[in-house]
Amino acid sequence: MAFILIVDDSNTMRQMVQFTLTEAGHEVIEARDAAEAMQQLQLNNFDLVISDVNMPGMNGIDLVKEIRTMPDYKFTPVLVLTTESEQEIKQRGRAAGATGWIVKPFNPEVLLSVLGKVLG
Amino acid sequence: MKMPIFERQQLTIYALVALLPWVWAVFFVPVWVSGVALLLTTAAIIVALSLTAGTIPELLEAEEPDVDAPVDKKAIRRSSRPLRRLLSRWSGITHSTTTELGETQGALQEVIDESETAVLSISKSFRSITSRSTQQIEYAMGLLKTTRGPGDVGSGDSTESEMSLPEYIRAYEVLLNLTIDRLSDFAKDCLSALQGAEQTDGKAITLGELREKLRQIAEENQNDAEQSRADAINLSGGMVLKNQQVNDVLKHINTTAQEIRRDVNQLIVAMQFQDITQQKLERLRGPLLTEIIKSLGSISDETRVLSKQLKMGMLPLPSAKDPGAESAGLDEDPAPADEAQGRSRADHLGSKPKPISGGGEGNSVELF
Repeated sequence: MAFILIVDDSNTMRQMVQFTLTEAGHEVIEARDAAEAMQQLQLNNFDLVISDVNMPGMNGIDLVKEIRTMPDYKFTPVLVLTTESEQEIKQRGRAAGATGWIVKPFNPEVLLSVLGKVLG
Repeated sequence: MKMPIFERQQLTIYALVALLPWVWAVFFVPVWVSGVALLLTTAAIIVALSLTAGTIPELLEAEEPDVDAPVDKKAIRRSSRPLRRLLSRWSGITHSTTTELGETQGALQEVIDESETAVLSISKSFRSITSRSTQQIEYAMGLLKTTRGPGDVGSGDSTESEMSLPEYIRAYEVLLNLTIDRLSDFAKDCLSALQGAEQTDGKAITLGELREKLRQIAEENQNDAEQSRADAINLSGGMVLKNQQVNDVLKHINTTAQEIRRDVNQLIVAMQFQDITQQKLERLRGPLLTEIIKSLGSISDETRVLSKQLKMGMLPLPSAKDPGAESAGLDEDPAPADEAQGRSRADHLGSKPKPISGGGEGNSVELF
């Protein structure tokens, strides 16, 4: 069981990810934007972060950069879950420090499989 | 040099006005004097006009405006240039707006189709989930509560096979109690027989009598034991059969659970599609339509200003480098730029997301 933070401005999407992960036995906390995510990251010690890219305020790529500046999260897996699938933006995510890239809509089995890989 | 038409007409009017004050003299002078005076005045007018307009035939021709004259054509072309530019711009905007509206319409249709597919999929999955859950509950209840197991599981003909699992447990409990009671009775009987053999009231029981009594007790207990064993075998047979039924039902429940999980996964994907299409609709409703409305509003304002200027005769004749045209927003045809803008907005809407197939990760997942 892992402690996971979900960052997405879409309520439906957060619920879908949360449902998938809790059904698999993980503990989940949700954040609506990057600012809320930063607060949660400081309050808790997450095993994994899943973030959207297109969000109001700070975008997901910048959030990944911010996460990587935090000493506690230097090596924590950060997955990007987004509708964006262009190589250019994927490369930006990779350069920012993202661990992986999942394109929406995600298949729950695939998401859990990826989680299994990145969490070891 | 040619005099403008309106000046020639003015000259004729002036001559007639100058002649009018002398009309009263017609009644006081001889007729021939009046005739000569009229002829001379007419001749003077014709001479004056011929001096300004050239020949008489030319003068006669000039009475009606010559719209085909080269100078007039140029003037008309010059004066209508802003209008033509505006019309050209209207044409460009209309073209790009039509293209954008076509794309909007297509995107909206896509949204509607996707939403419809998603809703149908959600509905189907939910129905399937509900149906299978009910089926699962019925199987479980049939196993635990009813006196008869599921009809398609097992085919026991004996009475025991028609018993439910709790009833088997109760039957075993009864049988066990019965066996304990019989063993207890056997022990009591043996004790009683031994006590009888030790009686000392003068008529001690013989060894043969004791043996006979014990034999009778043993036979009774043997019969009871055989009956118990037969009951136990029957119950065990029923239990084995019931156990098989339980296994089948559990297998069925497991299959149903897997199907439910698959349906839930499809439901999750469908819900995501609904969310993505909703976001696309919001983008359409926002920047794209706002931009169209803004462009049309701007054009409408400019047209109103131009119309007012034309009406008041204030429209300046544009020169080769007319700053007025620019200030009034009458720049060159902006249609290509607008079309490009339309394309960029259409690109911003993004392409339709494709669903992830159930098994493989495909291109949807990339680990760095």
